[in-house]
Amino acid sequence: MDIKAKGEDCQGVDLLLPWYVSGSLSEEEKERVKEHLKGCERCRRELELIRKERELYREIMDEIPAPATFPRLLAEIERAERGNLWQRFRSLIKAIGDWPRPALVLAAVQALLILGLITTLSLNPWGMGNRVYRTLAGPEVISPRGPCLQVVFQEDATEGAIRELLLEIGGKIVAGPTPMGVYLIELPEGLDRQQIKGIVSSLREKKEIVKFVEMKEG
Amino acid sequence: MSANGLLIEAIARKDHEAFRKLYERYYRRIYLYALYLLDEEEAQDVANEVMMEIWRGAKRFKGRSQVSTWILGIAANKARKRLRGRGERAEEEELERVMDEREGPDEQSHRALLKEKFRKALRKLTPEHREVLHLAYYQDLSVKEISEIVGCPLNTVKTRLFYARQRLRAILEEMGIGKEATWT
Repeated sequence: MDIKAKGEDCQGVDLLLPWYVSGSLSEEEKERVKEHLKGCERCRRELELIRKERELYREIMDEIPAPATFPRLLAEIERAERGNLWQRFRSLIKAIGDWPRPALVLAAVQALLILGLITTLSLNPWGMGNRVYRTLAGPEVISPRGPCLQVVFQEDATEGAIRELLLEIGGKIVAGPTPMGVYLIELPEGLDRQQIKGIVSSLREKKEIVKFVEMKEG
Repeated sequence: MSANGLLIEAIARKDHEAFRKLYERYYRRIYLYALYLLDEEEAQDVANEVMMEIWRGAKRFKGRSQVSTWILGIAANKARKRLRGRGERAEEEELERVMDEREGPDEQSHRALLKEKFRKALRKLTPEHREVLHLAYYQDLSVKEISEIVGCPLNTVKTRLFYARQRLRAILEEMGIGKEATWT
């Protein structure tokens, strides 16, 4: 075996060789190793072997694909944060209880004024007609029927490129962006799982437009 | 403060863009680290849990250690928690399954065969040996950083990697690739 006994004859310098290769030794240790290598043929051979091992190891690691889970992660965070809202509201109420009396009176007056204003406007005393706010996507409530994808677009993706991509896959944006930039895209009904996977793969190839894409389960 | 430290500070202020950048820098590293202790599904769960913990607990990062040490330390705790109670054999079988799936059927070149044998040798190491090898060879962490993550003294880290390599070399020799000339 090429490897020698631990620390033997080399004052522990041989133990530092892997970190000498990765460049993570202190300046002092680096100098110590460098000096030692000048006069130690065995450590020089060992160093060369470590370089090869490390290179092979990194090649193997680089071949392992990592899952793209960013949209799901964002969805989980948003869900968790929504769950915290009620807790925040409760702690706010508790904190209000500790306010000094004048501040409490002022806050109560403000609340009454706002409530009065809302009531007055909702009664429409000036006859301004029916002014219901509608979005471009309205008035129907969107509830996706087909399979859905969670997508994050690249920062510099243009509206034109996104439109073209949606036409290509027959999809439409039904929700989003969330604060984390996730869109929900509905695909045509009737696609089987294999076809959806194919669409996901094709979107993953469009790296200049799509940053993350994942099938929405359930 | 380092660029990564500034990112953590921004995440503590709930900056979504900073979180996205940190994800891009670290998610793969966390996943690959966990993968050498767990199966693919669990490694993915651990990586997601670590990211969630970073989002929720960024303000707890005080800058006393490197960001990578802090993050991989969280991953190490979570992965070990999952490993606890699982038999060593079950863990080895899982790793074998995971690594077998990665071997392409048409890999015939010398380099590909070498990699295949190297993968097989790696899976015969103990989790402790695989972990220290991964942290030094792939994550490029210093002795001090590894000692903080695995929770053992500096000298133990050095000798553990030494013995890990020695064991790896012995296994490779049994496979007929122990001679330096066959490494290229």
